[in-house]
Amino acid sequence: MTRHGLRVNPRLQLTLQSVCSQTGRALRLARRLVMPVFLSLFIVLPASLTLAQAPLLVYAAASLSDAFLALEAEFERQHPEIDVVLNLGSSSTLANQILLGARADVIASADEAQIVRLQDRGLVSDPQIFARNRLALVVPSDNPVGLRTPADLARPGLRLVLASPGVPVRGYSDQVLERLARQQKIEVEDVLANVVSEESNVRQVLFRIAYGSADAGFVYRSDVTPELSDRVVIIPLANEVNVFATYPVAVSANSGDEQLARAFIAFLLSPAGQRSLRDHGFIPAIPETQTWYGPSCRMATPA
Amino acid sequence: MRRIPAALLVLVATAGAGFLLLPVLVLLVMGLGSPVVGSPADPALPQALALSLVTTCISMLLVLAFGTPLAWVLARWRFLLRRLVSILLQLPLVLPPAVAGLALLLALGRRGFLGNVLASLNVEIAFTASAVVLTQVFVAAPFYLRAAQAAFANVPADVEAAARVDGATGLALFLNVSLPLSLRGLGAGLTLAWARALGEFGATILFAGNLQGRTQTMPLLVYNALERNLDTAIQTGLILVFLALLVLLLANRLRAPDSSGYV
Repeated sequence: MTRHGLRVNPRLQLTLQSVCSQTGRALRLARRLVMPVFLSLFIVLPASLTLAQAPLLVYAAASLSDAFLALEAEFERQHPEIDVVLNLGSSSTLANQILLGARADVIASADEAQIVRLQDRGLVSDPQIFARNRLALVVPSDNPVGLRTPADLARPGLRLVLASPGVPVRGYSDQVLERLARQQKIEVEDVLANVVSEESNVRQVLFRIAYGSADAGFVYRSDVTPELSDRVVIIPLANEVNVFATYPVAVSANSGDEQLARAFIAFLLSPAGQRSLRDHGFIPAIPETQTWYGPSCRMATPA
Repeated sequence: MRRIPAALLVLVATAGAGFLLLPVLVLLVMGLGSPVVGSPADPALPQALALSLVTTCISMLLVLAFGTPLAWVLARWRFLLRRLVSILLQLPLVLPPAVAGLALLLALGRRGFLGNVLASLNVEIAFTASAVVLTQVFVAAPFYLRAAQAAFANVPADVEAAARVDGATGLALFLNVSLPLSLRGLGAGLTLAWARALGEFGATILFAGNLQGRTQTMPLLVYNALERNLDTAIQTGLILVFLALLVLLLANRLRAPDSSGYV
């Protein structure tokens, strides 16, 4: 500092040196602390999650996504100490997860078959129907192939997207196609020849239509939410062609808190829960006002 | 800290190795021990196997055709932002497959960035085997690029200089000197790229869709079969495990003695 003849106050020089060496020491200390702090995050974060109260695990069909997000918020408002965690997916995937031993408290399926499969192995109990739905034939809003009636599905070259076999909405779609074929004198094979992709759940079918990858697909009526109304158009299905989807809910046998699971189901069946489901496009199961066209219901409908 | 007791070391190392080996071992034992192996295959399985083999072969041809010149340019030419370009081209290596699929959909999908151009050219990509191939090229090419770049960079400069003294130039120099000296590295890279292409799942199911015989590759079949038939999933899984082992052995053999790459 004095090389250029610049005179520096010796006391200032001392201060500078000490500041520099202190900064250096602090930096060295910080550097030594970085790794332990970083590593301890890996331990502290998961531990804090584990220590929190066990959540109520609700497995719900993909088509219930929006409705159950609203119901979750309402249930948590009523029970501030409870954390509801949703596991959303195709009902068949959810049932398979439970079959392979996954922990669950409540399962709400889009068809009875999945619940029957679990019930046969003693994995769920007390199934009750809490909602119904109808199918919707949807096309992108600009309808690139000009689909006018459901019978047009047999036209060659159309790109149809369905759910994979085993997924509930595929079963309902196949029923509609069979009825359509009988009524409109078209061949189911001609329609199936137009399938370009089989998706793993109903929301992915909807995604293919809403973003214009495909020309037509079958989803539930409740899936066509107001937000999608400018992307997706519903092609009307005649009442005698359409089917009803049945949504049962059941308590999982490995539930950590069976009482709480039952409380959630009671909430689904309560007037508030049913109203919320209706607002999300479902047909309430209670009171039973709908005419039943579908396959005979194997489970008791609660009064 | 300085002297970790050997027993503890062995214990932790065994636990680590066990965790990595156990799941595949269980799959092998379950698969080979069950009547699954001899039973007639689900018709979807041979179709998926054929589709996987055909699409990955086409993908690897594309990777070779476009990746080799690209790797050469990146390894040998000096230009602005070369390092940055080289790093950016490796992005698909670490990109989550779902993001890769979404990006491909937004770029090449029917309503995507190039959707109108492709439609006017009458090119149909979505829901076809071409989409499967493009996805595989996108996710697997960086494996080959990395290896090829390293291989080209490692060709000793004096060997090439000596060849030049003897009159070799341009393509002849590349074909007779540089390429043969890089062959092991290129082979190792290509093998790993093939393995990545064969195992590609997330981006494929998003961009190409899932249809038996058309876009349903082996990994998609494993996922799809879980919904209806666990046996098919296990059979398909077994074939993929054997192919993966084959790839590992091949890549290990091809690894150049002096290379420091991970294989």
